[in-house]
Amino acid sequence: MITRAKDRLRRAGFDVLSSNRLTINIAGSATTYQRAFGRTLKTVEREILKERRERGPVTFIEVEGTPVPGLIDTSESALADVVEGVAIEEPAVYYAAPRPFPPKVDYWHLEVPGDVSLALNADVVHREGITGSGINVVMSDTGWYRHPFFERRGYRAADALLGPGAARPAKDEVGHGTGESANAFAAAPDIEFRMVKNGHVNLTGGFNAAVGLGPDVISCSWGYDIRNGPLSAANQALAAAVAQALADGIVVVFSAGNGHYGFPGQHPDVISAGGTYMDRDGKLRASNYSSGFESRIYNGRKVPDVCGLVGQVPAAAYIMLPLEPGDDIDATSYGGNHPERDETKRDDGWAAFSGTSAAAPQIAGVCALIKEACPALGPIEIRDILKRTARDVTEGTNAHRERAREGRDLATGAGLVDAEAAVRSAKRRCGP
Amino acid sequence: MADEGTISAQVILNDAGAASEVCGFFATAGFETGPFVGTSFAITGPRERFEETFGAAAGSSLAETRPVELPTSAVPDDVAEAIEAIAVGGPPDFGPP
Repeated sequence: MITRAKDRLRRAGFDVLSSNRLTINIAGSATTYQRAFGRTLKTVEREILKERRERGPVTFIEVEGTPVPGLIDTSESALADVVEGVAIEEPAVYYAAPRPFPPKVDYWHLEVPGDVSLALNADVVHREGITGSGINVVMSDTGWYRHPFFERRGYRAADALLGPGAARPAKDEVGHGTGESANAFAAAPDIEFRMVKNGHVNLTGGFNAAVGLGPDVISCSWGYDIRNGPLSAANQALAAAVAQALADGIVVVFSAGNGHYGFPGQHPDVISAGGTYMDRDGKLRASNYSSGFESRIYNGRKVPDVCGLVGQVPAAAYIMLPLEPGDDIDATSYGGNHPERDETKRDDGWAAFSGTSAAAPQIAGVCALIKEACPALGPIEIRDILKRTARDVTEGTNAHRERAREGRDLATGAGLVDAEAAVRSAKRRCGP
Repeated sequence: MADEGTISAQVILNDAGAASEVCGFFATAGFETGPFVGTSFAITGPRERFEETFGAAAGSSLAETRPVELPTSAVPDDVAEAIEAIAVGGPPDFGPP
């Protein structure tokens, strides 16, 4: 329906700027609106409180003959079958940048960087001077916004590189990339970070752009739900790109999925990131939000390899993460009651979320610590260290109803990554 | 997240040795080209450029949200024979909402 609506709107002369499952963002002249919907638009000056507490006039666009301000009734237009209504955007007033401090909410959750770092056993590694310094980590995701959370802590991040079809490098309209990147900094605060901002439909091209940067680690918090082969041509190309990255010596971490049969999370060359939940007493159990399965595409491949920290169903609202105020996640997860919603304020630049999307950058951060401790280690050796040193998880069931038990299992793989044990093992491999 | 007037596809080759030649063809045709990694590289451009290169019928398939493959019949034979497929992928099933 969305595709049909966008097509019809384009044919009516509108520029389609963006869309999601429910809404389409369009732009066009007043004449285009009047021709398409049969309504006359007019401008109205209203006085409002603007930035720095100054009062002043602002121009609003209004629609004649509608009881709801700014609403175009489409019911008598030729687009009525695909467009329920059109809301004219109001001028936004930005009062202040978001706060660097996370909001306080009254339920068990983790904050970045402190809680995540502590739970991954990364704090003690940082105290020994291993912080990811000099290690290049690239994420391929929805973009990266310079939130004060990052700026005030002095985290190092280059401007986002635009992947194929992506636009607006300083924006993260969704918030996913910005938020999840905080997990990588929590594990390894001194990494050299860069985001490749993906467009809508060419994630392989975005991944290739990440490989082209030649980083030490690539972290991807997305994937396709593929239970059986054969892979499509596009996914075969993505699989080949993952293999090429490994051949180039790049550590590639992919999320295993949130109840999905994640691809490339099941590719043999990646570190497949699953989920473990830590409660307020520090007890570990398999996250029932996270995937774990035996691949039917790659014979003998078991997913995940290791876990990061992930919340529980229904929404995995577990890690309070910074994002661009008013982006998709901020605008859809605010308010309400935990666990369905995150109880933050709308447009405050913070939201509680996780999923194996959080696990991948946490693990990528730990890989950066290992790489700093022993630069000679390659991707397969680093994965082997993570698996050998992970904390076994013996309780709980994952999203695929796989039960955690002693030793490796499909619920959590080898268990929760242990940065301290992993770095010690890496140092032993490199010698004094 | 993206400029919706822009389309991006992945050109998948059966002969990696032809990468620079095929890449050059699409660059000359006005597409932005990405790095060749593994077996493929990205081509990106406005919808009209895709329709000019792959035919008007490609335009309707580009409106699909599911993955589609574009015809190589409109591409010169010497370029087309190195191409396995030209794929327009779909959005991810998990990760960003």
